[in-house]
Amino acid sequence: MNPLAQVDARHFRLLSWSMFTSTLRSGPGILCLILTLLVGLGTAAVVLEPMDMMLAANERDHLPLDQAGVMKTLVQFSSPMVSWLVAGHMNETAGQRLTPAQQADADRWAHYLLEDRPAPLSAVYMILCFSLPFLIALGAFDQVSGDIQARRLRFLLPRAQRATIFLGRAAGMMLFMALLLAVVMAIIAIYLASNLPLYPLGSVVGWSVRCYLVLVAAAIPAVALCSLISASVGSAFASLALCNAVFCVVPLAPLVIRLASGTTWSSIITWLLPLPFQLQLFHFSFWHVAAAILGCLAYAGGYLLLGLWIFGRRDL
Amino acid sequence: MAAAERPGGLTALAVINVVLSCIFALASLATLVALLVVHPLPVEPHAERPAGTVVDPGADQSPGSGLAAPGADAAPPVAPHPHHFRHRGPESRAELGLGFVDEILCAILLAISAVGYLRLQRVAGRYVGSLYGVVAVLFFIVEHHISHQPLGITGLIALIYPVLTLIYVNTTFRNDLVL
Repeated sequence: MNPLAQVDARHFRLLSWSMFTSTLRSGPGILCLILTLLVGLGTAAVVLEPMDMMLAANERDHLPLDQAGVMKTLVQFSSPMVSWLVAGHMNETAGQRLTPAQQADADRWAHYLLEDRPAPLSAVYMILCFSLPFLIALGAFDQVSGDIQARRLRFLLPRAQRATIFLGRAAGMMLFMALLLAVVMAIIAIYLASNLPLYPLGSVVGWSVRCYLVLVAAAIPAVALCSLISASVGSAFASLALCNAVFCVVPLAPLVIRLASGTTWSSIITWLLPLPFQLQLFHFSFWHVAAAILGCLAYAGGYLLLGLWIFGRRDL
Repeated sequence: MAAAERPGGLTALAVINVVLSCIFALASLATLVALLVVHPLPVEPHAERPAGTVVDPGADQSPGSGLAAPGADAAPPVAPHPHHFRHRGPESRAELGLGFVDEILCAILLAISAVGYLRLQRVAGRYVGSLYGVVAVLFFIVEHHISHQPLGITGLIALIYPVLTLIYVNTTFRNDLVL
């Protein structure tokens, strides 16, 4: 029988909202909220403070550089780094030299991120995208595992189907992370638009909205993976440890194995998470971005179906 | 009884309050030391230096060190910039003093509200927690006004916890802090 057919829409809404409000009131939820705000604004500070300092130094020493001049200097300085980052992403498996076409593509990509779009926002959102899974793990690790451990779900089971409980809680957690990301990105965008009026307001708002959708797309598989782990492990603490371990080990393991043994097959491990194409979410081509978003959603669907399968069969 | 009904979020806020309270207490001690020892009243070079005394630029450049260098007759007199020390001292002391009051007040309010959160008390939890939020925001504004520094994004980070405390104790946990 199709497990999705068991989902009752009214119960699903109730359980999602209940999960959202209980996350707001729970300790992990508050920690996730505070840390996401800290990391988001801290990243923005790391990116924007050097510019503020350069502007202050210019003003103090009566140098002719204005905000645009400072930004141009910083973009020129960081452009090779970004180009190297995206080029490495294109060819990280084999460690071979890039073809001229790939190098040109990497340079165009870096130009798009740093010059066609507001460069500080690009930097902040890309860093945030890669730190997001760890922040999500702090809030989403206990979707069902704590209740499984305390045997509380048996009071809910006579009223709602297992699929509704599992998917409703996952949706509530996704709603929490989506709203939290909206708050963080709104603060950063408003700060940039008001304090550094280098870019047109439409450009800042447009790029922020697009990056918001992209970050939500990147957050959904992470929440879904936490749902899967939470349903698989009957202990909240073990779930937290496992979520963080997966998000740490999967990106690092191939690198360690490659350094230790020199083999390149280990990069297959990174496909356990949507890491290999996550950077494509910031690509200049619409089709690359759309494909990356679809990939993220496919990963989320896979994690959720596997979690549903485990949750539907386990002893509650 | 109370512990069983307490939301996990209030426990988390109480733990964060205790940690921040300790940090603020230590910071206030450091500020006090800076206020008393490291940062004595600065001396204006023009006013305090006896007539005929000159400054060796390589000897000591710290504020208020207008000592005569040996063999100073040959050295050219170096006149500090007139605005170099004139307004810096009192303002720095005012900032340090304000910082000290801010830190000690926040440490006390955070410690009291932590106990209030754990016991679900209205006065110690909700009211003192709100007072901490208001005091922290006000001191933040005053300190920025005195130091004439623009509001950077680092400053916004300092406002996260006070603002969240204000929101949480007056909305989400309003009906929990009633004892």
